[in-house]
Amino acid sequence: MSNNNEKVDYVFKVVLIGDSSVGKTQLLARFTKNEFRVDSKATIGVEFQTQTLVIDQKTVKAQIWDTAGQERYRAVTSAYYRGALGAMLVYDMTKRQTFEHMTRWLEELRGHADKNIVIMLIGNKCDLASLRAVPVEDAQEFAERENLCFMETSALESTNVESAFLTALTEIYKITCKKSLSADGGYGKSSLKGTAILVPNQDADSGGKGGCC
Amino acid sequence: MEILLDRDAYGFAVRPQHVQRYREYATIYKEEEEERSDRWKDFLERPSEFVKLPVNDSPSQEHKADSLDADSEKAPEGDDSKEPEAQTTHQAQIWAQIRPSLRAIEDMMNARVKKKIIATKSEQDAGAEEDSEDEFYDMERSESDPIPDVPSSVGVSVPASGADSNPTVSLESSVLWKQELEFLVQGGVPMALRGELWQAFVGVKARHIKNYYQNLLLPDNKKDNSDDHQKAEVDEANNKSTVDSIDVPEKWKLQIEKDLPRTFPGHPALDEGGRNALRRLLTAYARHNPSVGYCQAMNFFAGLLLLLMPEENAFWALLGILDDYFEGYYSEEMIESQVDQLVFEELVRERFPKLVNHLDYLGVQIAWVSGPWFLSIFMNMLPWESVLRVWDVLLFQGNRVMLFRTALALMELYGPALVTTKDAGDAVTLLQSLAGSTFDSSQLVLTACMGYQNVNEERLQELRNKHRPAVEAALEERTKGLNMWRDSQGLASKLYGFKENKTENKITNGGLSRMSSETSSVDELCLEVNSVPDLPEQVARLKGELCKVLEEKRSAIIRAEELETALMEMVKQDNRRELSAKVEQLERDVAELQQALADKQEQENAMLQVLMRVEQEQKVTEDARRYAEQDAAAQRYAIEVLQEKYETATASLTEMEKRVVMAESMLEATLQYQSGQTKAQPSPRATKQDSSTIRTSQELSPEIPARKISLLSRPFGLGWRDKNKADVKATSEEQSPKPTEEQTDIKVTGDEPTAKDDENVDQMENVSLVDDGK
Repeated sequence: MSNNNEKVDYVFKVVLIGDSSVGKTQLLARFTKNEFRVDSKATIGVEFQTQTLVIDQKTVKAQIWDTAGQERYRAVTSAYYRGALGAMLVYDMTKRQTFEHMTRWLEELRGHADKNIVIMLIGNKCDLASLRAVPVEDAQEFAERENLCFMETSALESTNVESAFLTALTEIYKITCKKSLSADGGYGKSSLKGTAILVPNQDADSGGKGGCC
Repeated sequence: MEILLDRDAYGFAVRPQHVQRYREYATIYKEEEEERSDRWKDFLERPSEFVKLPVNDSPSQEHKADSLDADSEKAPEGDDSKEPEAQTTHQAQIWAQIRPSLRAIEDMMNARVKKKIIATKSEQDAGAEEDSEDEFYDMERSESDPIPDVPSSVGVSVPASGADSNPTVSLESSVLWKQELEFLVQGGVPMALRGELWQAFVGVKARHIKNYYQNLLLPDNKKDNSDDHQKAEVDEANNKSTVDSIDVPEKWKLQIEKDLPRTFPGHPALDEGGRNALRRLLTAYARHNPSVGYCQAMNFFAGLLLLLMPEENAFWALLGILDDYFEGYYSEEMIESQVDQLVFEELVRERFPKLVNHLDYLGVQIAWVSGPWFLSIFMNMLPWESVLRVWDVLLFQGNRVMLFRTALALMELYGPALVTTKDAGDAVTLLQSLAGSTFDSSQLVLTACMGYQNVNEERLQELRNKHRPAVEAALEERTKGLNMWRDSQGLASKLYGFKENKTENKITNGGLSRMSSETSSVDELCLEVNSVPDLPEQVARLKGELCKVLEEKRSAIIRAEELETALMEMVKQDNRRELSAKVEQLERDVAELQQALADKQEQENAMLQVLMRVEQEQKVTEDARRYAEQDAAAQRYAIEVLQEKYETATASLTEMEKRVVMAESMLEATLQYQSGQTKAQPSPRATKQDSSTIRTSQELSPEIPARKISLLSRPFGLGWRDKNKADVKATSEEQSPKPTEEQTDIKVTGDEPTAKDDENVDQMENVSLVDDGK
């Protein structure tokens, strides 16, 4: 039940959303390719990248969907929220408005994504400290109120980018583990020993096997 | 244009991972370019052989061009002069006619455009075209012509008055000419002609309205007097609060500003002047069509057009592409783009069932990849050479068919590779990267054009009509959610906004070409609706319609929900079927194993039984052996006993013999004594006559035995008997107590001692006989 090259224990789908030109594409490029493109172009529709990493000795493959920021693209991009286990809600800390739109994006997520989705609030461009328009306290307060994780990042200087994604993915991992455990409990003791039931088209079979035979 | 290190012949950046491939193809492109330049040159010169004066324009045309040029140069150039005009030479003029040699093509395309405009004109009161009286007449002429192609083919000879020429002569050649043109377009447009040919294809001249572009930019020019664009931004920021109510298009300005530096960043032609032109272009379009406004992706189209043609021409080309080719695509709701995705998915399902099966299995939706392809018209998705080749055909055809054909060709080219992928992420990434390396533009375009000819406009329209309701229902659902959100934000009264939205939609569905213009935003709608003079009269009717529509909406929502649950059910069942198939397989395996196990157990049991039987037999033999041993022991013991008896018997026999000898000797002696006494005493035989009758018979037998018997039977004298009493007792003690009794008897009945003695001897004889028999 493994890929030809490596075994993937979990596949987590994560979406990157937020106003346009807050640096979603750059965050993704920094995380997956460790590069920052000075000549970045506007994202049309969606773009897609994967990154494989190890959490708690498990191989986790992150499928990250980078969406267009312009409001009208939401009709198109909200279709990508389905099945997402995590969302990175990105604003530009030098532009107050992008932060103020976070409530709206949150609404969008709560309306179209799974209920248990892990949401990470990200204030990008923290290298431009002198232009800061959103105080950390505001963002923290907002994150606490809405029960989000929060981090300030800089895709340009590669500050916190990896740890932001890692935090979100670890959080997803924890939730999924808990969920699969309780699901196992419901199944009956026989399947407790089986492999985790997470990768939908792979390990799920083995988990099911443990349960029914 | 120079080929820079990481830029292609058009000045676009080549991705680092593709530089190598690009270099390989650069020479091919160059050869192809030369080849097609020759072909086009040949093609464009040929009709001129027909006609004597090909280059000479008709006076009217020339005059018009002049006036246009003059106008455009006066109006915007004058105002924009403070802006640093570092534009490349082809942008020195803001409006330019295309070269005369292409006029034939242009006229043909213009005729197409005009036809379309006329078709929609009757429903459009927007009198934006009142300036173009002469063009209107052109329109009428081409309209009245039974075959639209005819004027274009002969238009070369007499460009201004194509309809005047003799159609019968050129009819056949025009068809051939058009076919050849199509073929040439599929083969690619030469770089040098591309800008002008594209204008011809889109029908820029037919769309052009004098001063329209300049008027659209007028507010800017007033406001922006003597200020650079940073000032403009500040202005805009100041105006932000009031912008919505005063100047609707201005709300796009922020987004446009964001995207200006993100449009072909680093392209040599898009310097500051180029960006200003881009800004003007996008702003003008947003004002021209506020219902669409500005949508990301337009910046790329506008940028590309600016690279190929003067600013105003680019504006009209952009307008043609967005309002005509891609109507409803980039509007607020993006309905048509979503509809096209459903249509494309259906086409892929029909063409590549195997691939779709695999993608379904992985959970990949084709729209994930094709959505961005369509929305960006392949810009940034394919190598530039391929993008431009696709655009050549797309603009020539005048509709979105080429989008579908190209996307299908890409699926055909890369489907086989996709089937090998193992998860959704890999599949999407692979398709993206393969598409990004489609350097063989000729293969792509020819596959698309030749292989998918039956994917045509009528077919697509049919499919669009089929899928549109689903998209509209989804939109309904969304706007409902959005309205709820707005409600929570305490904005305008919801029911009102919703009502307006609905009713306006109804009207526009009636056939307005700019139907989406009325659905842009609630605020705008309120404005527009309020400005309509005969609103009160319509209210009653609209209310009725509203009710109807609301009812429809409700049922549609219910239906959608039902469908969704049904779909979920199907998906679940599908999963269940797979799982149950697996379970069945496993159960079969288990049953097999159990069968094998049972067989083994049976065998074991059989073995056990055999073993037990063997054991039993062993036990039986053991027992038998033991019995035999016991028997043997008993026999041995008996033998011993007998031996003993035999020995004692022989011992007693010898004793007896001794006694016999003794007795004989005694008898001898006695006889001798008797013989000596006979004279004195009578024989004792007279007293014992009855008992000795047998002995007498014995005595009659031969000499020796008779002697013996007589020895035994001869009665002993009392004295002799007493003497041997102890001896007899000793020999018969172990045998039985009887002799002693007899002895006592003998003692008691001393009268007949000899008879008793005889019996005793007989008994002893008997015993030894018995012992021997054993």
